[in-house]
Amino acid sequence: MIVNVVEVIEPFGLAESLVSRIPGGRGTLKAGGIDVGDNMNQPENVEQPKESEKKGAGSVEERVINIICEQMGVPREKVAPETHFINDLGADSLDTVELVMEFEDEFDINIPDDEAEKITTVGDAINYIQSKI
Amino acid sequence: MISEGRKNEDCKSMTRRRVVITGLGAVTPLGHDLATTWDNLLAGVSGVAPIERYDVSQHASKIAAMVKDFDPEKYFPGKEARHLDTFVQYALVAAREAMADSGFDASKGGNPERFGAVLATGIGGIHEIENQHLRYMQKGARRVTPHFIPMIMPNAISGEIAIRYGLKGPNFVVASACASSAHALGLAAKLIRWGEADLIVSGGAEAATTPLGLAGFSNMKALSTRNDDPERASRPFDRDRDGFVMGEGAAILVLEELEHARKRGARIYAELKGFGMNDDAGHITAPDPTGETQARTMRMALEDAGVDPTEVDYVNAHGTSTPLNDKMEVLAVTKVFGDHARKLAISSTKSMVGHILGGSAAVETAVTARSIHEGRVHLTMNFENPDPGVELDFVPGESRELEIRNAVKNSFGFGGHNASLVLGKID
Repeated sequence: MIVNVVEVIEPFGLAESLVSRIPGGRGTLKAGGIDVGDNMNQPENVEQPKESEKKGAGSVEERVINIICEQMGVPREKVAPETHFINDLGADSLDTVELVMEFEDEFDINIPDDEAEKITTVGDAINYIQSKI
Repeated sequence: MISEGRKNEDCKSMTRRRVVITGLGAVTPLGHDLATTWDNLLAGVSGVAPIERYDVSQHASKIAAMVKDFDPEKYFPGKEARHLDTFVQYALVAAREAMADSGFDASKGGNPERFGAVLATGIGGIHEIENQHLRYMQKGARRVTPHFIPMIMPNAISGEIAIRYGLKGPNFVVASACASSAHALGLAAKLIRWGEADLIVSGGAEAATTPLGLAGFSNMKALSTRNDDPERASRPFDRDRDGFVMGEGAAILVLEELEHARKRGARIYAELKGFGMNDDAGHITAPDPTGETQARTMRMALEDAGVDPTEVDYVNAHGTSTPLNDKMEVLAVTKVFGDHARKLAISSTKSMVGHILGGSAAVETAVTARSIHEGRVHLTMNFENPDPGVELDFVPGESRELEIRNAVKNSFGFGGHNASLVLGKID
């Protein structure tokens, strides 16, 4: 979508030149960032959403497990509701933060830190997300 | 610990600790290990090709020496690869080779604080900076990965190596642009000499051939634009050179105190005998055009090594294929070696692997160590005609056997950084 970028960006205080300098630079402003469009010159290993991760595909449980397998690099067989992120999957503190971030992204929800702390197993994640959506 | 007021004379005395190279590993545009790289260098294979990883239609220079067919999942299990920037991945694969090659295991005895990791990179995690910046622009600040900082920080290489090999000694990464690895190797050697450590895993890595990195170097007019003939673009010392070709990769060298190496029966490639360093204090990118400062760098390294210029047989040049560097380096070499300059074999590894920036001196010193060990030097690819009046031997046409008593490795970086290493055959 081509929009008059200058009119859209000015209120947010971003320099006009910022978007125009992006190769192919046309875009609409979304809350939280700029959608730079498909012809942006992408660095080679930017993760593109996989089929299984696209929003709406499969049950909550399936989607949660897919994310965990992808993020933690473990096969599906190792992931059960009682699987503990830290004790069973070897997640460190950075991994658990990133997992929560991926859940927020996938299900379009916000998970406050104090509630994120309580999500320690696969089952916790599934139950929490089901209660939020 | 270093005793206060220790003078130069002590360092030159018979009791001076000596530093040797006992393990080598590399990931380069010519192979995922040193053996393959070495064979390709001897055979005169070029690692330069048109860039296919991303769209280069807007870049002035469209060629580079990239590491080929590198699949991180093959080298790193599970989730490891996604938390390591490319430059760190290269360093870790090279480290795996070098540590196996050295046969050293920090867990088998000895105080782990005597074993360190001192490495180098010029730019660091630019790959992940570009990736996460795009994510930030598309999805906002809250979607930047929590692994971002540990991935992009230059010292990720020495930190990750220390973790994987249990090295608790001196540990940091140095940066001096294209001279970074030379400084890392020289400082690692000094730390061993000073008694701060008995073994240091050293070397360097770079993976900056990203859309942004390529654009930056391209727009400085530093790169060759011989896009239609990539394999002939990197032509150090040749009259028709027009700039350097970006490369990427890593090399790891295990540096060890001589007696420590002998006690455990380690195979020794060469001795790291001397190191010299200074700065042009002139221009932020152009070298001292007279070659005077760089000549002093080499003299300092030779003096530190206790080697006379006439005892040198091989120079592995900085040889970037830029009009300025190569001209200056010829002047500097001539100043230092005088008549003996004509007897030197001088070759540039960059003619085939491109310019690996912060990792270049590591790759090239590993090649030099192997050259000394094997008595063989690789050619300078694409060298056809010298600059007018230059009559030096750049090992044109084909690689050759060469008995090497001592070799000089030069490395000069943006910022006027000059560093020279002297390596020698161990008796």
